[in-house]
Parts: sequence; C-alpha cells; structure tokens
Amino acid sequence: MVEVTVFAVATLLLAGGVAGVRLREPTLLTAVQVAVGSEDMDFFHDPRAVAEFANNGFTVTAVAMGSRQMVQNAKTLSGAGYDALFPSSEDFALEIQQQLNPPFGNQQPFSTPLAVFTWRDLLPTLEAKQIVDPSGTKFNLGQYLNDTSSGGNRVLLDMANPADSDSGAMFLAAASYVLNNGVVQSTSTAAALATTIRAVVGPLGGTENTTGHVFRKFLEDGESAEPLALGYQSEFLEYQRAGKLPAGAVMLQLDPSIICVHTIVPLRNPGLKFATLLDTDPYLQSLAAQNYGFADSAEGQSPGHYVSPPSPQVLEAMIGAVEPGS
Amino acid sequence: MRSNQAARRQGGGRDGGRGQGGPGRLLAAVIGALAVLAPGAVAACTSPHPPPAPPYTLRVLADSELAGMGPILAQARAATGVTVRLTTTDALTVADDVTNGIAQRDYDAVWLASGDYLDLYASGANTLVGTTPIMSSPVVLAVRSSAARRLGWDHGPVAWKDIARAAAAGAFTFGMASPVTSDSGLSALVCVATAVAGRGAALTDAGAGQATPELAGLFAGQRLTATADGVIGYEADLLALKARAPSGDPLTLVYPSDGTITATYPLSLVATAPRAVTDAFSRLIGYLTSTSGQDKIMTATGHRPVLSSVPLARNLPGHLGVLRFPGSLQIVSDLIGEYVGKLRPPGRTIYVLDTSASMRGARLSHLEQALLALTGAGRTLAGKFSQFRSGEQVTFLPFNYAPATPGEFSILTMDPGPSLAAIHDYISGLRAHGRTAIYDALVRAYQIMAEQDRGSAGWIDSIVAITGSENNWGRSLGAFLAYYRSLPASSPAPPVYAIAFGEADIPELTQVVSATGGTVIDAVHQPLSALSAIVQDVRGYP
Repeated sequence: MVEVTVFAVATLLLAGGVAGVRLREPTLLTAVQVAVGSEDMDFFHDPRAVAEFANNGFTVTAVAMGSRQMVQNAKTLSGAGYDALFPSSEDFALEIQQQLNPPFGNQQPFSTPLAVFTWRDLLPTLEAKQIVDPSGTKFNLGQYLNDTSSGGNRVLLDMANPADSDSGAMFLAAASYVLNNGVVQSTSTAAALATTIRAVVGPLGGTENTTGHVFRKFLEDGESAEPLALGYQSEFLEYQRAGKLPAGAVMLQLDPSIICVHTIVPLRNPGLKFATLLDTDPYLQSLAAQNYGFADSAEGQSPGHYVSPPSPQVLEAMIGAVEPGS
Repeated sequence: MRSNQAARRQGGGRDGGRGQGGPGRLLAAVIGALAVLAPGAVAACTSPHPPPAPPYTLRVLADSELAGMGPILAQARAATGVTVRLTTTDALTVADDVTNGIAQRDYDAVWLASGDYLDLYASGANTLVGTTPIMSSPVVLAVRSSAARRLGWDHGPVAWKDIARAAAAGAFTFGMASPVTSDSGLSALVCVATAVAGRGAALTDAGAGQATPELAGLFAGQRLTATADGVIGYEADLLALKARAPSGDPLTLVYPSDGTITATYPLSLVATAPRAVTDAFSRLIGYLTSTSGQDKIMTATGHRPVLSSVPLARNLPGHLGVLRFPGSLQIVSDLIGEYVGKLRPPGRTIYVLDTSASMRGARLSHLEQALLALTGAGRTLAGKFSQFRSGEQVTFLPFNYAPATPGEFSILTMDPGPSLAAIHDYISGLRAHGRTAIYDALVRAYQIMAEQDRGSAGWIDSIVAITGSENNWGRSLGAFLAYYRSLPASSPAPPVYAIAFGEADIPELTQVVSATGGTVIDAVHQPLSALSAIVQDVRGYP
C-alpha cells in the first residue's frame, strides 16, 4: 500500500488518457485539499477517480493522517486551508463538528467493517487456541482478549495506534464491548477496562499511526513478522480484486466487529461540493464498491456480528486510559 | 532551548592521521558518519530541465542519517520543481525540536530515519501529518571478512545472542553510533535487548531486566578506535562502507537470524502547513514513492523500496525477521540510561577550556553554564541524557598562556552527588585573562591521558576543546601535528572534538580533528546561548 501523490496537471493528462474522457481546461478546476486515512489514499490516487474528479471540476490533494490526528489538529487544519476532513468513523467526524461547527453537516460516502488478516498456515494453531472458529472464518475477540491478557497467547494482533487512528480506536470500542457485555456507557467503566486492553495492546510496542501502514507491513513482512493484523475489510478486498495479495493471506471476520462509516466533514464550500460528489457520483460509488471493497452505507455490509461504538466522550476516555504512560 | 542552528558540523576522517590504513580508517569513518552530524543545509542542485510545476522550496528538518539523499533530492527537484532545503541534525535534537514546537515553527516538514523514535519522545508528534515511509533499511552488522571466518559467521545463521557472547568473550569488537542521539544506535540497542529477551514481543520491563547481563557482555566489545572487527548500523550505510573496503580486507554483512528493526524513513508535513506547502510536499512524496523514484533510491543509496512492485536488488536479502520497538518511553529511557550508566565502557573526557582574555564576560559565563548543565541542570531530553554519569572520569584543563593544573573528578558510582558539587564549584571558579595557547594545552591533554592510562583500560576516551580565539601563544598547529604523529601507534590516541566560537580559527581546528578523527562543531555563527546544546551534543558521541 503505497501513497503516490501525483502532480495535478500531469495527473490530468494521464488520467484523461486512461479514462478516455475530454477534460475541461485545467485552469477551471477547483483545487480541494482533503485529509484522509492512509488506507484511502489508493482510491484518491486511482487515475479513474482523479479523472472523474476532474470531469466534475476538481483537482484533489489528499493528505494521509490518522483519524484521531484529524480531531486533535482540527483547528490547525482548518486554519491551514483544508477544505474537508475525512475520518474513517462517524465518532471522529462528530468530534470534529463539535470543535469547528462548520455549517455543512457531514456525508458518509463509504463504509467498511473492521477485519482481521492472517495466513492460511496459521489457521490450525489459531483454531486450536479457539481464537479462530473451526470453519476458519471468524476471529473470536473475547477468546483472544482473554488468552493474550493472561499471557497464554503470544501470536499478537498488530494494529494502528489507538491514539492516532480510527481502526485502533475502534478496536478499543469492540474490545470494550466484549469485556463489558455491551456498549460502554460511562467513562469510569472505560477506565476500569483499560488494564485488560492495555495488556493486549502494550506488547505490540510502537505502532503505526495510520491503518494503511499496518496493512502494508502485513503484506510485506509476511507470516512470521505479521501473523495477525487488524484493518478494514475494504483494504483486503481492494488487493484481492486487483490480484495483489501474497499467497496464503486470508481475511477473518472480527467477532464482534464495528462498521466504520467513513464520514467526510466539509469545512468550506468547495469541500461541501466535493463531499457531495463523493457521496452521490454513481461512477465514484461504483469504483469504490467494485475496486476498493467499500459499501455505500452501513446497511450494505456483508452479514456478521456488528456492535456499536461508545459515544465520542467515552471513546476518548478509553483511548486516554489505554495510552502508554497513563 | 535548542535551535535548528544548534549543530552545524564539519566531519573529519583520519586522513592526516598516524598511518592506520585500510579498513581501519573506513571503520572509523563510518562510525564517525553514523554518529556524527552532517553539514547543515544540503540544497538540491540545479536541474537541466524546466520544472513542470510552480517551484517551491521546502524546508525540511532531517535526521543526519538522511544527509546522503542530496543526489536523489536533486533529481526530485528536476522532476517536480520542489527544492528540498535539508537541515540535518541528530535524531534527539529533532525530537526535542518537535516537542517544543521549533520544528513546527521553522520548518515545513520533518524527515526521520525511524518513526519509533519520534513517536516515543516527541509529545508533539501528532501534529505531524501526511506521514509517508519513503524507504527502509534494517539494522545489521558489517564484519571484516577475516573476523567473520574466524568467528564462523561467514556461513550459517548468526543470532544477536551469538554476537553478544563473542563480544563478552573478547573475540569480537565493534563500533556503533550513540543510542543517545541517533536512530541507528538506538535501534541497535533495542534489537539486541529485544532479541536477547527472546519473546517475539516488544520489550517489557521484565524483559529489559533479563537482558542486562547479555547486553553488558555485548558492550564490553564496543570500541571507538579504528581497529574494531565490525560495525552495527543500518544496512544502507554498511553497504556503502563495504563498497569502499579495500580488496585485501573486505567486509561481510551479517543478518542476525533472530530478527532486526527496520527504519522506514517517514517524511511528515507540519499540520500548520499552508496549501502551497502541502502541494509541494505531495509532489515530492509522489516522486519519491513512484516506481522510478524508488528504484533510483535503491540504486543510489542502498535503501530498500517501500513499493512491493519494485524488486529488491540482488545484494539485499529478503525475509528478514522482525523485532518490535517498545511502545513505552519509560522502557526505552531505562534502556538508554542503563547503556549510558552501566553498559558502555565509562567515558573519560578531558575538557580543554579556553580561559584567555578573549573569553571575558558573556563568553565565559556561557561556557560555565554549558558545563554546569552537564551536572544535572538540563531540561531537554538531550540535556537529560548528556549529564555526567556514574563511573565517568572528567578532567578540566583550563588554559591561557599555558595549561593550568588539571581539575580531575571521578563521578562515584554509588553516590555521584558530592563529585558533581565539586565540579560545580570548580567551574564557577574559572577566571579569564591572558593569551591563547591552544596547542600547548592539547599536547598537555594527551600527556594527561597517557598518565591516567597507566594501569587502567576499557575507557572510552575523548578530548573536547572549547575555544573562542585563534591560537596566539605557544606551539603552532604544525608543531602540534608533529607531536600527534610522534605518539606511539601501539596505544590509540583519542579524538579531539573541537567546539569553535567567537574568533576561533575553524580551518586550523579542522586540521586538528582530521588528524585525530574527531569533529569540529562550528558555533561561530550561533548565539552564545546555543553553546549549552552544542556541548550536550558532543556528549552524545561515544
């Protein structure tokens, strides 16, 4: 998973060639700058997407960052001229809206559930530990939390830093749901569960700050270095459909999982127009679904056991409690 | 407070040295290159092609490990119109600058060798966005081929434990950059500690304690001299070293079988960057992570591509084991503290201090403050890690017309407090008058080092000369160099690190450090207040 940011004019020529479309004059394009999760960078740099953006009058500069980084830097990014922030979950979008109060609401063009990636060779071991069900399709989060926090399991699920990224934070949401037998409703409960979760996250050591980097490590470092990795179903589907998965890579449903509704928060008028394009353009929606494994709404997901994340306030408390040094 | 000007350096090899030829020189040079900071601003060169986009100059604060990227950045400029103005310093200074906001204020982007270092140290790291790994390089070992054969490391797997065991037995010596100030040194330390703890997970408190005996064994083999058997560092740097090794004494790269830590050289944008900067940053990233950019980086610098579609060059073995970097600053801090305080051989340093009349007033008081900071007054990370340590031997040699009686202090292992208090009193009593006989003082420093050497071994020796004036009394530079060359080649003479400010003669001092294998730190054009940071930097060397 590599981020290739392309210079606008060069891209337009290339993209125009690829898509076989007539472009408007480059000078008429509106430049929009959007913060996106690293895992979405491939989509934003896909020549077909770039051409469709241009057909609708946009040239896009996408800057990769963790969803929670967007929240923590919301005021700075707004001041620096970003037209929209596109975190990977609704919780973070709501936090941004609370801080900045932009008059544009939000839009939810893509969604995808958290999933676990592993290797076919490891399935027998994981099944023996009952971390994976006998059919080899579901990752039992409760069993994993139990075995790992007690030191009985050393095959670790790598993930992006919960303090920076959406997928890491949503792991806390799913894990706390399991430990609490339901959505955590209070910050005090969140703090009480942190010890167990920290015992699972801590041994990972320093983690990547954005989801796409974890998936890249999974693909490149292979079975012995990255036996288990947490990410989005869409990442895996993107590589699977492009025929770029390494041999033996398999995806498991996280049980229970969380559907991450990628939610774009426009900060300026061009951002609103661009967000609307992402959300409604049939070509972009079909490209996202066909090639990037996204569903256009939470309802369009494959069947599975999905739970809700806690409120943004409780989630923040949980992230704070799990962070190293807290 | 540190600033971006804190450490502009001019490196010195051993070119004018005492005839230690062959890979010895190379090893010394690479240790120097690994540990030492490269010159400040490396702007990419002019391009023969017109830039295809609005030209922009991106100010990038970079780890000194990236100083060799100049040619690639020149190509990037030709392709993108983006000029990179790279200001390089050690990783610890970058981390301090990110934490106190200097990086965000004075630069557009930050480029480190390892994100681990920044995430752990810099509380402001989350204000860096657009983070993109540019290339990668694992921590490995370069060993003289003759030593590799002797140790049986030229065939079959070699684990970090084997390396530690050989060092403990006195069969293997090596050099490496300081874990205090450099990514590569820290990664090497963490690699060994994690591999020895042997749990496949990142290091925990228990694991760190368990690793201590084996780490102590390993660092018994650490040397600063040119005669070491090998070097621990990033593969890319060691491949460059290997390429320069003489055919009579080639180097073998050893990839530890129990895994390694790989640097991914993340390039980040400051969150406050306005749109023109963000646009230039995106273009630069686009070039560096393109297929052709990745291929050029691999060919020119020996760094591995981050694009899986670019096949690895034949000299880069695949499928390396992975060790994890700890997620807790406390564990890493403890490990560094352990290294500085116990694991590495204790430091023995002579501070040659200019107390001539040219030092009167603000200069002397800043010099005193800089030295006093080493007794525990530091507030930055760099200050914290550069304090005088238990077991260390510190000698002050003030000079004007002639060197004064040296002030010698041993920092007691059990109770460093009284010795630090005594140092405090000594420094506070310095007075400035007279002329500047720096070469007489340096000769005296070598004599003192030789006297102290009787009956003791296993020190890391260095001479730090701090001067604000040209030499205007006593021996000339030529006479000093003649003296240095006359020293017996059998006992390695320590390097001189020269900190030059005021009216110091930098060209002359450059000759001194070239001959002795040290470095000149050019503080002439910096505010006096930067002196503290500079003195701390020098402490990170061994």
